[in-house]
Amino acid sequence: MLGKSKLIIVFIAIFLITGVAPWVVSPYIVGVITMAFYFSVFVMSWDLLFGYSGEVNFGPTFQIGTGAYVTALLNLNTSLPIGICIIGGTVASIIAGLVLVAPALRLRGPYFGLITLVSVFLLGEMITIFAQYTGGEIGISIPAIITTNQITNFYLAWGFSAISAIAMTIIANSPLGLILQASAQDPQEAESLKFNITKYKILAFSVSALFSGLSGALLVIYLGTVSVSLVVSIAVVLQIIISAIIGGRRTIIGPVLGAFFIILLRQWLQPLEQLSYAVVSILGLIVLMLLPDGLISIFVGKR
Amino acid sequence: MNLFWQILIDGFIISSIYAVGVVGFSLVFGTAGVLNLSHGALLVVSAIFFWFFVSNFHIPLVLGMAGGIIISVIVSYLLFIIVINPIDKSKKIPQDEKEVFVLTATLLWSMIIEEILIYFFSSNPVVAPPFVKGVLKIFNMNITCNEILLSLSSIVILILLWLFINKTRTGKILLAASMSHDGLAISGIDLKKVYITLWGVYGILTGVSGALLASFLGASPSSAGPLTGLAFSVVVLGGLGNITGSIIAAFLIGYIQTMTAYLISPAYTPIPAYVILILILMFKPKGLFGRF
Repeated sequence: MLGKSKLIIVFIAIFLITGVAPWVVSPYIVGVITMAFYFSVFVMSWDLLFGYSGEVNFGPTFQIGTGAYVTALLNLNTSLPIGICIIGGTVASIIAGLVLVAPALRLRGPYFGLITLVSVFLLGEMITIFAQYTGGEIGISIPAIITTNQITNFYLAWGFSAISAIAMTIIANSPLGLILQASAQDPQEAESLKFNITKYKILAFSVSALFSGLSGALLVIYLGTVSVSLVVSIAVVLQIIISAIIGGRRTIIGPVLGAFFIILLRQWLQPLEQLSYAVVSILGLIVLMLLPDGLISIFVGKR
Repeated sequence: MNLFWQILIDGFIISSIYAVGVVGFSLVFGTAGVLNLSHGALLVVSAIFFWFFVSNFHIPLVLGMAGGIIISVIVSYLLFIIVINPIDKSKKIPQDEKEVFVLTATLLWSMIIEEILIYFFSSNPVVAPPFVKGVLKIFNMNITCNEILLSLSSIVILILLWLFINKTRTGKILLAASMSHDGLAISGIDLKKVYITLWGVYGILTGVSGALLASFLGASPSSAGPLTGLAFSVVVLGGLGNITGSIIAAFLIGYIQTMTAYLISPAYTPIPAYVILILILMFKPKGLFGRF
C-alpha cells in the first residue's frame, strides 16, 4: 500500500489548487474542469471496485448510463422536482450495479469482465431500439437546470468530487476495504474466516454504483443533455479505465489525478480532432505497459 | 413456406461468413490464451483497406483483397509485438493481473485502430463491389450470386483450415500448443516460432473474413466493437478455444439472428447474441463444447 500521509497531501494539493481555478483561468477552462470533477467520480468508483474488490469492470457506463438516462427521462416526462429525478437516477444506477453482483460471485476476472462489457453493448442497443424515448444516437436535451451561474456549478462539482473522494478513501481503508481485498485475493480463505463474501460484494457494488450514478445524474443536470457518447459508449469506458491506470490504481486519489490528466489532455489535443482520441488511447497503452502502477507511483514511490 | 426457405438460405449464408470470421479468434485463444478484444477492429481494417484499394486504384477485386489481407497480417503482428508479447514478458505486471491487462490493452488497441480509421476514412460504412454479378432464383426467392460465392468460399476456407491444422506439421504444432505449452517445449519446439506462425495465420484468416464482410454486409470503423461482441458470443457459446465448437455456434447464432430479423424485427438482431453470451457465461461458462 502507498503511504497514507503522502496520499492525503496529494489529495489536499489537488483540491486546494483546483479550488481557486474560477479566479485564475478562463471561463471556458472552468467549464472543462467542472466536467473533470464529475468524471473523476466515475474513475474513483471504478477504482473502488477494481482496485479493492478485484472486480474487472468493463462496464462502468452500465451504471453511469442507467443513472444518467433515468434522471433525464424522469425530468423530461414527469413534473417531479430535480432532486427527486436525481435520486431516482441514482437508485436506478444502484439497481444496475446489483444486477452485476450475481455474475461477479460466480465468475473469475476475465469472464466477469466480458459480462460487464456486454452489459454496455446491451444498454447501447436498448437506447437505439427505444429511440422514440431516448433520442437514439443523438440523445436528448432536458429542461432541468440547477443554476446557470458557472461558479456555483463549479463549486458544486468541486465539493461533490471532494466529498466522494473522502468517502471512498474512508471506505477503502476501513475494515470493509480490507475484507474486500482479502476476498479478492483468496475467496476461500476469506470465507473460511467466516466473512460473508456475498454481503460485502453487494456493498461494494452498491457504493460504487451510488457514487457513479449520482455523478452521472448531476452531470446530466449540469449539461442539460444526455447521449450515448457522453455516458454509455465504450470510448467512455476506456477513458475511465485509462484514467484509473494512468493515475494509479488502488489509491482512490490517483484516479482523480488521472481523470484531470485525461480531460485536460483531450482539451489540449482538441486541434487534432478525431486523432486526439487516438493519441490519448496510445498514451494510455504506453502507461499501461511501462508504468502499470500509474503516474502516482512517481510521486509517492513504488508499492 | 417461402419465409421458411428464406430463413434457411439467408441464415446459412450469414452463418458461414460468421464461422470464418470467428475461427481466428478461437484459434488465438486456444493456442496463446489471448482473449483479443481488438478482433472486430482487425476485421474492419482488412474490410476497409480492401474497399480502399479497389475503389481508389481500380485494381481487380482479388488483388484488392490480397492487399487487405497483407495489411491485416501486419496489424496482427504489430499487436503481438507491441502489446501481447511485452505484457507476457513484463516483470512489472503481476502474473495474476496479466489477463486483465491483456483485455484492457487489446480494448485500447481496438479503440486506437478505430479512431485512426475514422480519421483517415471517416465513419461512413463502406461496401466493396460484388465479386460476381447476377441473381439466382431458388424457391421463388432472389439470391445474388455474390452471396452464394461468399458462402461457398467460407466453407472452402473452413475445410482448408481443418486440413491445415490436422494434416500439416505446422498445423499440428499449433494444435499441440493449444493443449500444452510445456509438452511442446519438451519436444524441442521453439514457442516463439509457434507464435510467429499463429499470429500470421490469424492475420490471414481475419483478413479474408474482413474482405468477405466488406462484400456482404459492408463495414464501418464503428462496427469494430459490435463485431468483437459477436465473435465473443459465438466463441464462448462454442466453448473457448474449440474451433469446431465455434463453427457450430456460428451457425446457431447466425440462424437465431436471421430468425430474429425475419420474425420479430431487424432492429433486435444484435440482442440475442448478447443474451446468449450472458446466459452461457452465467450457467455454463465452458460453452456447449468447452475444453477449458
